[in-house]
Amino acid sequence: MAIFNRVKPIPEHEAEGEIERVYHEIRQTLRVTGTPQMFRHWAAYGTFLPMVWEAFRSNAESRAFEAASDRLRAEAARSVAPLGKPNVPARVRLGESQTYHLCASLDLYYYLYPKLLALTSAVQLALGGERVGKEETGEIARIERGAPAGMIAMELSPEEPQDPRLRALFDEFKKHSNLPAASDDVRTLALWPDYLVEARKRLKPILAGAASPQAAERLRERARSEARALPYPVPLSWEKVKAIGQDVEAIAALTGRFEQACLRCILDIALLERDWRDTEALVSSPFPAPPRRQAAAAEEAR
Amino acid sequence: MSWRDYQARQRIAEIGDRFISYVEEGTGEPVVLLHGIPSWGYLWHRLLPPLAGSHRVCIPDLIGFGYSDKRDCFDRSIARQAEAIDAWMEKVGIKRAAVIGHDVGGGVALRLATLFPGRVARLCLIDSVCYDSWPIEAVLEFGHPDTRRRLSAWTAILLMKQAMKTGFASSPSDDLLDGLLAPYVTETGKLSLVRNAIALNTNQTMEIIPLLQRIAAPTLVLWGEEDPFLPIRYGERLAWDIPGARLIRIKQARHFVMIDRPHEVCEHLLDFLIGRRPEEKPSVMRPPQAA
Repeated sequence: MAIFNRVKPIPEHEAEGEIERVYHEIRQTLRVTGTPQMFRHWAAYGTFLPMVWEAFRSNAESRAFEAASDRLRAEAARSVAPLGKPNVPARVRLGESQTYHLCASLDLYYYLYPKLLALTSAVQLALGGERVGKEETGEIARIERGAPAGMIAMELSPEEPQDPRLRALFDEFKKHSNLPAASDDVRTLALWPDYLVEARKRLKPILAGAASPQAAERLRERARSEARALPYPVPLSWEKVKAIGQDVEAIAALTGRFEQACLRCILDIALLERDWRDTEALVSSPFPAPPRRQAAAAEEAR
Repeated sequence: MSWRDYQARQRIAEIGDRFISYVEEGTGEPVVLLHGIPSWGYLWHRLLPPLAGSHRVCIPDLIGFGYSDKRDCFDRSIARQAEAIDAWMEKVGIKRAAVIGHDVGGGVALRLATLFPGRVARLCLIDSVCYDSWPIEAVLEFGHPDTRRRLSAWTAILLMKQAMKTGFASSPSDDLLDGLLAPYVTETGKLSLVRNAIALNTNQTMEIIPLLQRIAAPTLVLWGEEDPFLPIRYGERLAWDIPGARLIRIKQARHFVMIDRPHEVCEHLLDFLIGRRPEEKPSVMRPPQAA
């Protein structure tokens, strides 16, 4: 845990210069309304974030990456189908607007986490010395940039909440994930404390069963094979990171923990989504990405 | 009513790619209540039960405020807010309503009454922005684009609380202030509030001055006599410029009159909504000097 004392993540509103530019690029390319936690933590390692983003950017805007993430999401949806529904809404009083916000937030993370999983897997493999990505020479289809019109703002409750229930929950999350802070989805769901507390209570026994670790392992394997098959190579290595003067061991350890957290979060969110949507609907992306060319044509037509 | 209880009552209406959260209670003639900056629909929570006893009360959070859409992809000026409220009224099936606006919500109400007159059956302006009375210094300061960097959400809310306190006749409880600012305690909330403040544009009340004399809806101007943000002289001027408008001065009340004097305000509103004219004579007998 010592590394967490030395590096301080850079929140979106505090980002400046190159980091601010990269954050903007990440949001645009990954099509999300906020900069995910993993990047805020990577940004603490000087030029590592710009380096890793430069290494991954071509893949991130490709249709192949989007499709790989879609397959991971579908895999997660099928994995949680036999685990049952947590039935959280039945136990919590939620108004129409609150439910709308909640579902929209779940959709946001349900869209985002498979992308982050594929990305962290690729970075982990590359740092481990594996060759990631192929050498596609033909024209690779790209997807539209920018957050989808229907995606809600990524809103995070404070890292240190005042509500003692939330504090305990955040601490528990940090302990289990070995991450320096609660994940973004947990911080978002904390905006509805009763829901989050109940959700954790209901998810615990489901995830404690034997099927859950197996599902996570299958998802990890799938993510790694998807990463290996990305269209562009990811020119990142232990030596390159070392060359920029960063603590590569700490970075690799942190990335590994994020990869693990992504697996857990995808399954958590898929389960919570089951309270509102059936498996068939969950297999599809909540925000299908239009092709870049189509978007450009639409722009021209306007 | 706690802000959480209030929030649980909110419904949702999608307007194109955006959404508006709103509370709807009661039956009868529709009444739309519009809040100002930096609050949200919760501002009206003390008036909701008594008004809903005899009216269909609808309280939207303006776009970018409260629990309505907070993303950075739309204009939050009062001109666009009025258009959004027009679209929202259509969506929730309100053809025409008594529109009551406070602060920036009053500016929105003024634009509705002048530019969408078919929507406004009655108009009530409570310590409303108008003419060149706004934005006030604290909001201007908050709307400085650099605020999003200089201040954390926590600090911003603390400063906002301090600034708001002077708008109450007696010290508001922490619970009340926490409730009024609840949607803005996150970085996203703060950023949205900064964008809302940036969007404030005096021109949008100045440009409708020539139209004020065409407002045909019965109009009530209700003002805290001691409002330090929007002094009562602006209320006097509104009451003079809008044909047939009546001004009621609320004694020992500041900017947040619905919190300072909820019973008195409610009584005046109910009288106004049913068209009962109190004995009080118009307060304005000659053209005031507003600015």
